[in-house]
Amino acid sequence: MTTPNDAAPKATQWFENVVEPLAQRVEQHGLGLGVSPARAAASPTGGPLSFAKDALVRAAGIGTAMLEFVSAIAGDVVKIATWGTRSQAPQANPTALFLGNVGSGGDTSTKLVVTNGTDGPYNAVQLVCRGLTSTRGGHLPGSAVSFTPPMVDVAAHGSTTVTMQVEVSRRTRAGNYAGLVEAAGHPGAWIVVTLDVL
Amino acid sequence: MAASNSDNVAVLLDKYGELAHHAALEAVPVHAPRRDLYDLVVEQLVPRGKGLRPAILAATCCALGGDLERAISLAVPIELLHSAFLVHDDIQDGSERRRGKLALYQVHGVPLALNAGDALGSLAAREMGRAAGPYRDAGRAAIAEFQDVVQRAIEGQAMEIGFRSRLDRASDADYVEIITRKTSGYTVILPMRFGVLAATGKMPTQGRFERFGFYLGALFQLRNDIRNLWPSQPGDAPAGSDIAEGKLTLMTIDALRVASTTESAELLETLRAPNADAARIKRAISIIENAGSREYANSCAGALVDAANGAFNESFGSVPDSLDRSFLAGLAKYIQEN
Repeated sequence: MTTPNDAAPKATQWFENVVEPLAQRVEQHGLGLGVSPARAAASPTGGPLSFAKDALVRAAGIGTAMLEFVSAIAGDVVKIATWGTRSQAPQANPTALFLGNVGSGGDTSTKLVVTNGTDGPYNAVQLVCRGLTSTRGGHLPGSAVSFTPPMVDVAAHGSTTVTMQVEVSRRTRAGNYAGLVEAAGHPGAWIVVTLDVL
Repeated sequence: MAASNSDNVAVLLDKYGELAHHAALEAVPVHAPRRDLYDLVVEQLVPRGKGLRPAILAATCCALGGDLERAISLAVPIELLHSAFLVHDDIQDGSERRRGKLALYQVHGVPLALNAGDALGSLAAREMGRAAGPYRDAGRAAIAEFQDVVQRAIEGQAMEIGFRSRLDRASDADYVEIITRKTSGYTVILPMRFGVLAATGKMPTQGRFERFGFYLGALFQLRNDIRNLWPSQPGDAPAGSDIAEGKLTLMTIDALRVASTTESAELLETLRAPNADAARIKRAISIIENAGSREYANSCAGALVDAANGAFNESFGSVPDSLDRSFLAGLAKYIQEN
């Protein structure tokens, strides 16, 4: 039997005699592990806010849904909420916001609501998107995504609407694109957006 | 209020996990046969897991100044591979549930589930080829490492299953060897190395991330094993499925070694019994606890946390401070506490 007093020294011994030799082997030989046949045979937040996401999906009319992303810890709440049509594709991620189908050379827009549930104001909040990428290798750069207004002040327990627009150039390859919209400086306030380029 | 380490880690796990999850779903074909194959593949992918692998990959990439999108495309094959392994694991272990719902084979039967697992493995290989394409020579090296890691994980699984019939002959070294092959490679070391590839366009030199990744991977598996016997989180499965499956863990090895002869024999008999009932499992856990093996395993986890924190600087010491770097720095403590 191992008593509570024995556990720590016994663990130290385990670490030194068992873990360290293997750690060295992995360090030197990498993922190949440097296993010899003989051995194999012998033995087998950037700011004051912090967030934990709790996604809530509510129906808000036929064919549409409101995706409300609520992030809260210790009383601080920031939301990015938005309205849009959910993808009908069977494998669609129910927590990603589908922006719709867009032909090359076209564009799409949606409204995002930034909500501040804290007791203090947040000024100059900027929504950013570094681009959308398709699993087929296509890329919509961050410059194709714009937010109007580019920067917003959100009063304590208030909310502000931002319009997000995505322009799809004629050279963009067809496919399903996904990207991340974030509130700069508030790493817990984010939403995954998707778009089908036809 | 400043965010705690745990909050920061949880935020990035969630964010990067969600992005990779979406990308993995998009990699699933939408053509026939849907009902007998691809719907099962999607069913296995939803709901998503904790996001540890994509988060480690993306955080490594972003900490080094790389683009998140590049990181996510390299995370997809690892996510698909992981799901393939889970389908097969559940069948091999006879597990009833996975991520809060019935295991795939429980719903669709072994033949179709096994085939869906194979499809996930094949999709992982296809996506690995796609993701590596833009990196040319480094991409070819990445594919080779991916294949190496798949092979190691299969070896680890074989060893673990094989030891179920010879548990009384297993040593601590066997356990660490198994979890290194089965877990550390594709859960931590490969994601870190792919994170560097995504950020720099090159595979990192040998030795920069392996030690840190090895400790983190071992810690992750050990904590999973501890939680299996003593659940601590709301979503945890009922205690003791590892006992029912006769799985080799550090605690069982230790208890078989240090418990009284009578209790050790009783524990071994339960581990070998097919379909041990709840009372026997509870008794087995009690034998392990009375032997001091829970305390021992927790101390071993503590040693791995200390080692991981010490090795972090070797891997990321020269990297400027950022949320992503903090995530990686805080990961060992987070795994220990969750």
